[in-house]
Amino acid sequence: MSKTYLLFRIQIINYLALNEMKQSGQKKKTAITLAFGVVTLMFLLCTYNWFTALALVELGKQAFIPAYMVSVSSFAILFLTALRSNGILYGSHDLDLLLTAPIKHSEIISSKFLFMYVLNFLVAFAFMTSGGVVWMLHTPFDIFPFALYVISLFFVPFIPMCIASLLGLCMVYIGSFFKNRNIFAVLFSFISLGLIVYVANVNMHSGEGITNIGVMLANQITKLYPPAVFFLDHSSISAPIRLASFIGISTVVFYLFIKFVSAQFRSLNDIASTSSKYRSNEKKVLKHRSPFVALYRKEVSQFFHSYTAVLNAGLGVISLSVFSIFLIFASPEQLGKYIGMDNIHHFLSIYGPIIISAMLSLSCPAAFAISLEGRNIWIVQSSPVSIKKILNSKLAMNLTLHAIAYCLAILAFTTRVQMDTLQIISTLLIPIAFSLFSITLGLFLNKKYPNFTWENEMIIVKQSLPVIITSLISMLTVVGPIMLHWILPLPLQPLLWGIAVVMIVASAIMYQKACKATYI
Amino acid sequence: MAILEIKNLTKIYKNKKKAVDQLTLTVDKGDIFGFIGGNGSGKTTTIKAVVGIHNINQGEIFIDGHSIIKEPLTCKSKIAYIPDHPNLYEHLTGYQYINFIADLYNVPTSKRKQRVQKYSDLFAMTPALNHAISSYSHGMKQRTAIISALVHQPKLFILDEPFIGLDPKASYLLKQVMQECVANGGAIFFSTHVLDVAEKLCNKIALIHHGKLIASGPTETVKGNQSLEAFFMEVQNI
Repeated sequence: MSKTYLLFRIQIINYLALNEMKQSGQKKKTAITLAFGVVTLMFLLCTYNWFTALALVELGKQAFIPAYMVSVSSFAILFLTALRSNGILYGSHDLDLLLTAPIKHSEIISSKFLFMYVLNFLVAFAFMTSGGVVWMLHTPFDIFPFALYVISLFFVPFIPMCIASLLGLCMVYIGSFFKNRNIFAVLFSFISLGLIVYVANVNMHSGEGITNIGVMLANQITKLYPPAVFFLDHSSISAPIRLASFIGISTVVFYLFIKFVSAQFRSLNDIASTSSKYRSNEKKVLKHRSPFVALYRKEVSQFFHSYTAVLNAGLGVISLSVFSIFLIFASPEQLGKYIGMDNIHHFLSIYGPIIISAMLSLSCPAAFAISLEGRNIWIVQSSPVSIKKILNSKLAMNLTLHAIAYCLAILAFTTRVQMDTLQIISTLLIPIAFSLFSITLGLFLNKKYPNFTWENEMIIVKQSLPVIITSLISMLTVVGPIMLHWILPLPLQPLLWGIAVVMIVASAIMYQKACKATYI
Repeated sequence: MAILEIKNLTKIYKNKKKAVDQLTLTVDKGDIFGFIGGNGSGKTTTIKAVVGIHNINQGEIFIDGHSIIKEPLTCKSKIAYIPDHPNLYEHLTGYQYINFIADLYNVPTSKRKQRVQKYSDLFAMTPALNHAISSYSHGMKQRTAIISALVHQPKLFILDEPFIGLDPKASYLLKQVMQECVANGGAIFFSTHVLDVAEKLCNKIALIHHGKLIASGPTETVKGNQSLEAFFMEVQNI
């Protein structure tokens, strides 16, 4: 058994907590719920891509399906890997052990890339399989291109993984010159991702003047992700040569990148694990505050010092803030023009509360705030502070995050969007109910299913049961009323008010239950 | 007068393992009480139940006359706990961490400044406390944890393997601090594998084996004529 495989196997066991799942009934339940969450997400992705592919078939452009799926899945992989590559590649907790073991750097790196590859392959699979099936059903049968499509599925994650890891590498390197590297890392990540999305969006819109829909689609697909050009039907180059070129280029790029990272691994890890040069001033620090304020300040500091937490749980709040600032400084008409909507005021006045609520629900650090204590949990467990106070500090931290984005959003909507009084009241109050519900639900679930023995924050921030369940339920509370409004159709405003009341009651019950506990 | 009373303590984990079985012991004011036992004997479980980290299945724990089950906050305000591996908030500086603990225990500013100054000088941590804890060695983290425990002057000091990772000077200073705490009317309850230290430092010891209390009382009475090490080995072979 090769060392790369051994390391990969250990990572899978550790990351997915496979041994813990076998141990007790509670862990088994957790595993089943987690698996259910992942399967649901995969199902939703597959369904979405199935319908997208069908839409292309209806346009008579089924030949574009492979390129489209490759383009979109690569973009998704790039986005997802950029958020987590550093947590896996550099500065992870197992590095001290690995670096002292008789293992080559290339084997460590290969195992880590293999691990990332498996996660990303699942993303590519979810995107490309459903689209591919639609394509095959609506294309005259020819085994050769179909087989090549299936083979290429295994190579699609290579290039986006390299680009995302390169971004991470730049961040580690440039961040080493900054005093507060976590804040730099978060800013760098958001700016990079923002730039990627912006450039892709601009490129995709650049072909709008083209009247031939086929040319326009080809233009958009290749501008979103240039290597997708290999999957477009060019009569001059045969499909086998194009796909063989794609596989060859992907493999070479991937191989060279792993070689490069292996060569620089030790120095990159030294940079990533160098301790902060931060100094505090004793006179300012030794100051009496109430236990709640002390806990709250600790929560804020703990959250902002976790790059993974800010990047993942801050996404909704930052997106809402950016959207609101855009709405304040640009006119809603400009926004409407940009997203191709004529009656933007009407849209925003009706869907405003749900837009704000959805983005706030995306940011729920409360769902991992207790687990984030990790092995430090003994400090609050043995301190003379009530469970209620500890939970309140975590709620307050999440509410503060929401409050910043909420205030900006309210300012933007009330000043820039034409709304009647009832719509203004809805925009003001309904997001508060959604915010309280998602935060309380996250905290309640984390209180019930904490994990203090993690080695990598990624496990609790992205893959933990409370986070997945909170995300799914929050998603349902947002999508549910919209679907009911569209399908039945029920009036949206009364529906939202009804759900908001249910949420407030549910939040109060969950809060009471969580605070009654004697142990955390 | 008893500052810690453990009566018939039984702790069974979710995997049905009985970690502590009907344990009863008393720590009086002025005691330096050594809690001795092999790996997995139930020392840490007992300590975690006393400080309110673990719930218990049976029995009672009283700290200065208050029940840890019924009045956990009153009990916790009277104790300071230092675990075997002092995992502290790495992103905070030493000063920030100590101040955080002082806030949780409501220590007035003037007293905290005076105590932080005294103990950070004593443990040679004054300059280092300005730096982030992530840059500390194991021993420095241990010393920071000790300073933060001393800042609220507990009546009962509970330490789990306190001498692991400390250099000889810091070990000596910790022993001095323990003596000082006892002289001021407090008490010390600590687990250790270092039998020599226990023999020299503790006026009372208790020995736990497979979750059951084997012996408890004044050190001289418990070990008899033999050394503590010989007594310990005798028990391990039961």
